[in-house]
Amino acid sequence: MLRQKLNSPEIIQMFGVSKSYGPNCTALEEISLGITRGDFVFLTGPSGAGKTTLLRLLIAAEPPTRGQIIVNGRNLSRLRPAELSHYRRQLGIIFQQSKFLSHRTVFDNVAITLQAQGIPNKVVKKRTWETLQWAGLEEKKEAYPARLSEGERQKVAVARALVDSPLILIADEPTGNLDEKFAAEIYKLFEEINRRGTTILFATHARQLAERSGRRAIVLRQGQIVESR
Amino acid sequence: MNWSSMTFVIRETVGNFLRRKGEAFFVTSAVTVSMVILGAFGLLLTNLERALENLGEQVRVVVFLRDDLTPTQRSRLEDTLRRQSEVERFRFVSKEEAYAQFTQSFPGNRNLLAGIEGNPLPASYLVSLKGEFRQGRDLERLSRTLSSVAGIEDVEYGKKWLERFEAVVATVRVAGIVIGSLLGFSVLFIIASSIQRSMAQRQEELEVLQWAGATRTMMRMPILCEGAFLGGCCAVLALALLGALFWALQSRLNLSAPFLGLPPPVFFSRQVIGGGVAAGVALGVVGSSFACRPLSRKHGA
Repeated sequence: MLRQKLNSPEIIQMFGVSKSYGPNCTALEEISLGITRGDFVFLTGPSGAGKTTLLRLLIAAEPPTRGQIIVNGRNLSRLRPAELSHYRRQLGIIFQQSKFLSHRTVFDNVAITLQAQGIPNKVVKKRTWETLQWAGLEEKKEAYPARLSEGERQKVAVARALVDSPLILIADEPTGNLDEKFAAEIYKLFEEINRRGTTILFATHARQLAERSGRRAIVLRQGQIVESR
Repeated sequence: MNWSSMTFVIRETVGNFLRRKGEAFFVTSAVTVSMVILGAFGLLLTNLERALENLGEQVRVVVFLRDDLTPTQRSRLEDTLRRQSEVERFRFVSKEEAYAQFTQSFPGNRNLLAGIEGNPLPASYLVSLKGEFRQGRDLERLSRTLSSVAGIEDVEYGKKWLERFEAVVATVRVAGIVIGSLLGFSVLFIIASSIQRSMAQRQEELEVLQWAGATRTMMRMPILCEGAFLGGCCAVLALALLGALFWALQSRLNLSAPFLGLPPPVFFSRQVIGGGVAAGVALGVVGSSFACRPLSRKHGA
């Protein structure tokens, strides 16, 4: 049974996953889902539906109370602490309020992902520059985060998440704070990433965005999947 | 850890330290002052022990002989002295030599002996001891052994003075350990809390590194290196300050030491200086490891 799960074409699998914070606070209840390699999936639902909790379980920020999560053939509950960092290198993570290092330039903020993995400096420079060009940030490479608009900051977050070509991109409300123009630009970047083969899990409370895209959407409400199409 | 990781860690360490110049100055000053006090105690102890060693070299056991000592008894006594493991060498001082030494050493008191018929001063043996047996308890043991030998009038070695001096050194040593431990803990505490504040300021950076897949070593190393750098710098500064203070006072100390019967004071040896800097680095690493513990819980590092 477990061998079947590990050999599945689905890159993300959840089996009966629940997450509680104390007896009276259940954030997720009996979630089972599968996301195929290369898919672009929206995770929608109102605020407090459990979207962020689900993403936090996927990035191994906290363990589930019950159930199993298998990502790219690895059972997250069996990851040793030393394996955690290697697991996270397969992920690109974007938050609604992504954190930046105020004393570092845009270039350095993106490069830190590769530097943290001990990648040689020459490769870091080349890949960071290519990623900034791809995101349309080449003119901002020497700017500090405080001098950027919200949209530009979110582009930097996307560039940082993608600079090491992750298998899966996990984004929590990446367009939540943006005006329509920037939201569309960010969304276009995501589509391009997906065309390259990266699996994307895009959490948003804006259900119409998912509907307009015509892509698969998983709808959460009060910690349960109410719709998956 | 490869070369790229090492350059990343070094850049992070230096960058973190320089970004917090004001706090770094305050913390460096506090740790340096604590280390100067710690070093001053160490220096005092080193010189007191040296003084004791120096006095030990002058320590002689004087074995006074009875006037009616027979040549056989004297020969037995010499055999006994040769058998003692504490004894380095011994020399016989005849009654005549003792008289000559007394009149030479105390010319003003020559009249004291003039009124006495004959030479009242006894013959003796001056016994020098091996370095490791120049302590009060060894002298006491040897004195007891020799006192029981026939033909011996008395055995003297400045018992009370030596005991008092050893008590002073023991007290200073205990005080040094107690004060040293307290100061050591305070240095640890200052370093740990400084690194903790640094970590709180770098919370965002640690979070970014965590999600970027930085290993436990990559996240902890800049923090441990910052502690080591702080501890090492403070130890070098403290030793430099202590050295400057010592050289400034040295001429005065050199003048007054002979009057107190003490050898001229010395500064720490190169080995001790090296050990002091290493201890500073070690204190920094231990302090920052304490600070790293919440990091392990929060970021899985």
